[in-house]
Amino acid sequence: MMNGDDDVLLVKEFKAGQDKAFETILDKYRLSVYSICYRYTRNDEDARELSQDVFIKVYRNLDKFNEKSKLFTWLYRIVVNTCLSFKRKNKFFKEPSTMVETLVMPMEERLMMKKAIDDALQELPERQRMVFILRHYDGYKFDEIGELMGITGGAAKANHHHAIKKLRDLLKEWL
Amino acid sequence: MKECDYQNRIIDYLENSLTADRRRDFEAHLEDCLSCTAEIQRMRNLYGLLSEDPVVAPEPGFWRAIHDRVRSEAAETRPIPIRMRRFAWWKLTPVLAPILAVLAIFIFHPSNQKTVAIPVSLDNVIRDTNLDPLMLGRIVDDNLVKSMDRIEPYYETELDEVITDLNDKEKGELIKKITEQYVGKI
Repeated sequence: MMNGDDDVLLVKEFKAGQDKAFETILDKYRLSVYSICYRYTRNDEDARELSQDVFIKVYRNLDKFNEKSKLFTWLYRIVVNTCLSFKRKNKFFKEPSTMVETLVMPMEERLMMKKAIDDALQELPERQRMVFILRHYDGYKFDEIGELMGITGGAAKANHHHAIKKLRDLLKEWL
Repeated sequence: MKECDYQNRIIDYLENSLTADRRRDFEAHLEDCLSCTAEIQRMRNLYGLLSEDPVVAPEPGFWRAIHDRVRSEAAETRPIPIRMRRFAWWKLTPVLAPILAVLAIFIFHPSNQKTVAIPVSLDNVIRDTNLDPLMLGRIVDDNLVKSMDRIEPYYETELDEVITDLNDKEKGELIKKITEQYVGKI
């Protein structure tokens, strides 16, 4: 596993014109980026589009990246902003797959549960959803989430509490 | 049924973010409160349920395609995007005003009739945030700024959208070109 020092080196190499450094950054962060995008959109196609947008922005702006901050913080901030902008751009979210046909298949209950989670997460307001994803799936502290989202740690914590309570109500049949 | 006052601590308890004292107090409360105990179990089920949410990563070819795309993009020389429409001139005024002010001083000042080289680089002028805007307001003729609208038909994109994608050097070049074009039209 690479650490922050490796990131500093990679950025320096990229700025020096070594394209291979970007490939390494992409390989290192691609799954994290895609996971956040997928969990935010609950849709593979949209998550791919968002992931692509994120890495194109990274590539275009990496030479301007201020190395005083951490690369992953900068990169995740791009992820968060890209996701939140995506919601704004696509005001009418695509419905998640209804899985009408798959409901009659084996694993019916599992698929229904997945759909319930999809629906519940999409019911959350965008900020609450992003805070919840960063906290629950990526294990960020509230201060770190605040830094990524441009809000205070207290606001991140409040958003998280609201998200949990709402999810608990939306998914009560499954608890 | 009335909700127990302690239920607002459940999330913090599960997230391990209660202080040691409050945690002890809460755990003592749990020994007597069936409502909170049941709610904690439901919340644990919720956390478990939400963890049952695997993400299937895209195939390696998808990432290769992204890399190929950015690589091919980098291979092309990105010209300064100069096709702009509906030019938001008022946003550019704070940047253009110092440049025009310096040009005006050196061109029109009575004691400076000869052709004199500007002693500061354009980039320095752009970066100089210490210039007094009130002083500039007196120097720069309002009509001069307004007449910049003449250039508007030449552009097709919002300047503020374009300018955020430029680095300092590119911004300097853009301003320089606009200024040259503008001054040439006076």
